[in-house]
Amino acid sequence: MVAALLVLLIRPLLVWLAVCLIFLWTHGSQIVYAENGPFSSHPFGEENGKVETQENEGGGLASPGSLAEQASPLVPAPLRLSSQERVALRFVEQGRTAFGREHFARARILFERAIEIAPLQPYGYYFLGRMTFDQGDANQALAFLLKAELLLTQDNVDWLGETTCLQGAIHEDAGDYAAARLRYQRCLEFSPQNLRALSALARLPEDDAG
Amino acid sequence: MQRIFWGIIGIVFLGLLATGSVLGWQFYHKLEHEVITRFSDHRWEVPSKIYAQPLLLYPGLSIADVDLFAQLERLDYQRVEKNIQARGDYWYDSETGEVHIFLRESTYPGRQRPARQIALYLDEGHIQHVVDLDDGTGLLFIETEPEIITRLYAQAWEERRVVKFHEVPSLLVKALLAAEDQRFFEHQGVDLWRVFGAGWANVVAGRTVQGGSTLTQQLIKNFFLSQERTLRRKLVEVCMAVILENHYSKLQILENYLNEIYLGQRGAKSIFGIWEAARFYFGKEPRDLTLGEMALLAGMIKAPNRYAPNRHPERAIRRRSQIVQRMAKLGDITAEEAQAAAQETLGRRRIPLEKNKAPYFVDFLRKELEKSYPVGILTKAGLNIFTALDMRLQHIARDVIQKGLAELETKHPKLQRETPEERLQACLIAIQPQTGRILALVGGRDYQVSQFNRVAQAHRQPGSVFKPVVYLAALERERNHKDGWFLPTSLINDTPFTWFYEDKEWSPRNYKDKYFGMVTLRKALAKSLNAATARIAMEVGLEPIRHTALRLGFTSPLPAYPSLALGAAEVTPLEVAQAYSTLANQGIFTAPTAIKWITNPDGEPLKQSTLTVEQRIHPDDAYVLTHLLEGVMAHGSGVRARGLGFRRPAAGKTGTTNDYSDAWFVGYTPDLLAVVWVGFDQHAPLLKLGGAQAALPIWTEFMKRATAGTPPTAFLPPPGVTLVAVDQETGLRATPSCPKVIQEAFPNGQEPILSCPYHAPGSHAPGSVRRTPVRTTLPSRHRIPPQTTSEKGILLSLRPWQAVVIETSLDPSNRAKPWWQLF
Repeated sequence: MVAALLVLLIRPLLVWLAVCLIFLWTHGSQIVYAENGPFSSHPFGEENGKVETQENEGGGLASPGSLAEQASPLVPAPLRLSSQERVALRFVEQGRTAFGREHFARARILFERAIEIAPLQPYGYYFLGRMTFDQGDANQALAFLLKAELLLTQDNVDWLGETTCLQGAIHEDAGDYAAARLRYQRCLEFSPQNLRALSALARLPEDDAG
Repeated sequence: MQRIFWGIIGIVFLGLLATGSVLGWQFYHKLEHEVITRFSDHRWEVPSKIYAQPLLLYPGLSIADVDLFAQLERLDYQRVEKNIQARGDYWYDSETGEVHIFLRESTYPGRQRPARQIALYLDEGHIQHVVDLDDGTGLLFIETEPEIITRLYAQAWEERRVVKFHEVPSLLVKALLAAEDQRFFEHQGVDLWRVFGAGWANVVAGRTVQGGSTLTQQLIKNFFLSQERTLRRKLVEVCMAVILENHYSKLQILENYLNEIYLGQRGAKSIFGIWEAARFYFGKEPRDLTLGEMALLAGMIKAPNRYAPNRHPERAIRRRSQIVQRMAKLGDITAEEAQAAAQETLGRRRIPLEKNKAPYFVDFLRKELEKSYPVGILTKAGLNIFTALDMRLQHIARDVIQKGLAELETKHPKLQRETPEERLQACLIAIQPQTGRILALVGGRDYQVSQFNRVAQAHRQPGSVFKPVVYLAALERERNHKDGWFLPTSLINDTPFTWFYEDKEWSPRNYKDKYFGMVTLRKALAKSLNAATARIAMEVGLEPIRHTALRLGFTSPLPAYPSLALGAAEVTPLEVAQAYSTLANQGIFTAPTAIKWITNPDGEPLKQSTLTVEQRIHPDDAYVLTHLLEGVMAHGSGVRARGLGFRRPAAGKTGTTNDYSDAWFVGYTPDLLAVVWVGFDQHAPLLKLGGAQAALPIWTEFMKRATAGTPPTAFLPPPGVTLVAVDQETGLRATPSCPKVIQEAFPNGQEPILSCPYHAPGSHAPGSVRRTPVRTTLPSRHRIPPQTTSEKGILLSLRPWQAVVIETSLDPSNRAKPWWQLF
């Protein structure tokens, strides 16, 4: 009897604690993608303007210490990519490094170069979307992310999840909660365990007008 | 008296002296002011350079596909027999399949590459490995420096690249001083000993054999004075030289001299400065010159055209020996070095032809640039203008146009004309849809004959090339109404009719007056049927069509007349490229751009053309239309491209105007779009040749060569579209018995539900349906409700003028469904 009473008393406390933890976690990472997004900067990739890299480094985002390793989405293994796509990924990688160091102009040049080399590869668009969102241009960011989404194959669920989740964050940032909810829900279709989308959906007001 | 006389003389003398001093002082100050002002404010007139894209080399690439050696030669690389030694050398061993290249340093915006030696290891013409020869590591890829398309000159065509003093090797400076002014560091602008020596030598010879001018005087003469030979000019020159020496250091004077000196001609263009001369005569930068080459360059200053090594090698060698000996005598080099330099072989250098490689593109670019920069800046400020032009594609474009037109004239001699101005013309523009970058642009057949850029300036009727806009507007209407009227399998009546508008009539006619009755949307577009398209336009309305056209990127006025639907409004090929580019880019608009970056001579960015994207067409609609246009290539008016060997996934459309004065073909793969127009400037008819005969072969050849070596890619359906295998005849889901099955694209939720009953065994068995076209007697403008239940089954109105009865034994509950879901 006493134990049951204790459980009844403690349960709301635990729920409240969990909600607080989720809130803190999400507000520390959700909107500010560039700082603590899934692709935070790492030492790989030179900033000295050299565009070449050693072949044994894998030539792509799936190399050790590269984007693929630390990010939840895994890009296609280099073996599945054409040489051109691998070269483009190298530019994406360097652009991402520049982006992480807030060298936005250089990052943009590198992302755009990646798109020029392999225009059907989605990653350059994805990062341009992230960067333009960081720079305050939500419309342009959404357009880039839509392009990335269109280029991602349906089996690339992790990246689709990231892309749609970021779209949700942009809508949420703009106060368009209805659109944000739709994008977060879309994200969960690809990546049911995506904690950012889950927490965002829990956080978003039910009333769309809000 | 005498004292008075001498007193007056003295006063007059003193007065004259004082006046002379004042005047002299004023003259000196005037000259000083002039020298300082002009010398300090002196800006070299350096033409702006326009660059193409750099060439990217990576494993897997076929060097034949990218014309590697042609590209290297255009970049002024010299093939050497043995090891590469200097920047700009390359070596190729066809037996081992090795290519060694000593790349020059490259300053491309956003990334800089130092000079480096690389090796390409080839296997059957494909790059297997790229290796950095400096440290032996493998490289993922390497970029060459971007190729110069042309330079933008002012009236005087002067080639010059400004160098800093520290960039010039000291031996070259010593050679220069040995040749022109040995006591440069000792005199104060004027070398009296040399003046006397030269005077004596001239007296002895009885003619002018030696000059007494110092480097400073030569610089003054080039900077400020005319070339006239008068005593007055000489005196001013001397004064200015002294002033210059008083105000500026020897190194500053020498640096200016190195950049100012005239060193010969490259056709109509003058070569100025030591850097430009080293590149022109030896293909090297000054720091890579050998001692003999330095001596030769220094010796050429006396008479550049007389001692030019490419024109007078014997004289050049003699002059080189003189300079080398003088350097040895002065102690600048040892006797052994002098001997080695004097024996250097004067290589037979191939001087690359310097001409504008993309004149129409440059004109187009120049117009863009002149919106932001005055002409004076463009021609003098030495800007670096980086474009996306792909020189390989540009060469292909020029080549296919020349050959394509020649072939047309050979096959159809009546197309030939007497004068060059009246000859058959064509233009081509290629764009990367995702970025809007113009990759190739040829505005006409021969720039020397006509500078009219047909890509950007020719407003011509697009004919059937415009029809996809109508179909897109119909698909957009379908998106809003979801009534099944404009799905790819929807039926359209292709029979003659009259469109009444604003108290006028318009009766569209099909090609050769041939009509097909009820046809699917796909067939109507594939066969480019005028009557069916006009009916769609009538249903959709002209305003939505115009609106769709504007969103796609058309900018010319589009009058709202029914003939707009069949391409009667005049547009430019550039607009057509823009509009189709939006389709190819999944409905995302990116403006066509020629300029990527502009930097100042120091490489600092002045302007960057950033990629901006805008969703203007729903990606599902863009894809469905692309899918329909793929049908044009598969079994429609563009099928000839397949016969000519272009096999990649592609979408396209032919265009021919009523009077056969314009022939078009526009087509795209997922990542490359090209538009070709063929016609006469005078609007003369192309006999009976349409887009498929005149423009398509040129497009096909361009695309075949342009895409060679890259993996084929398919158009990716967006998530909102489902591909369903349907029977080509009925548009219903295909059964194993259907003879002609195609993949059809439908917006999600609008796919056909029923299977094709026509080809199923026992087609009248329970559960099957029979579709019976019924001609109604209703007036053409009367609209039957989309779904009416009759005694026989469901009466379906596919069009106001036509009905279909479906006899069905399906569950009656199905009758509550929208009719299109039954299909």
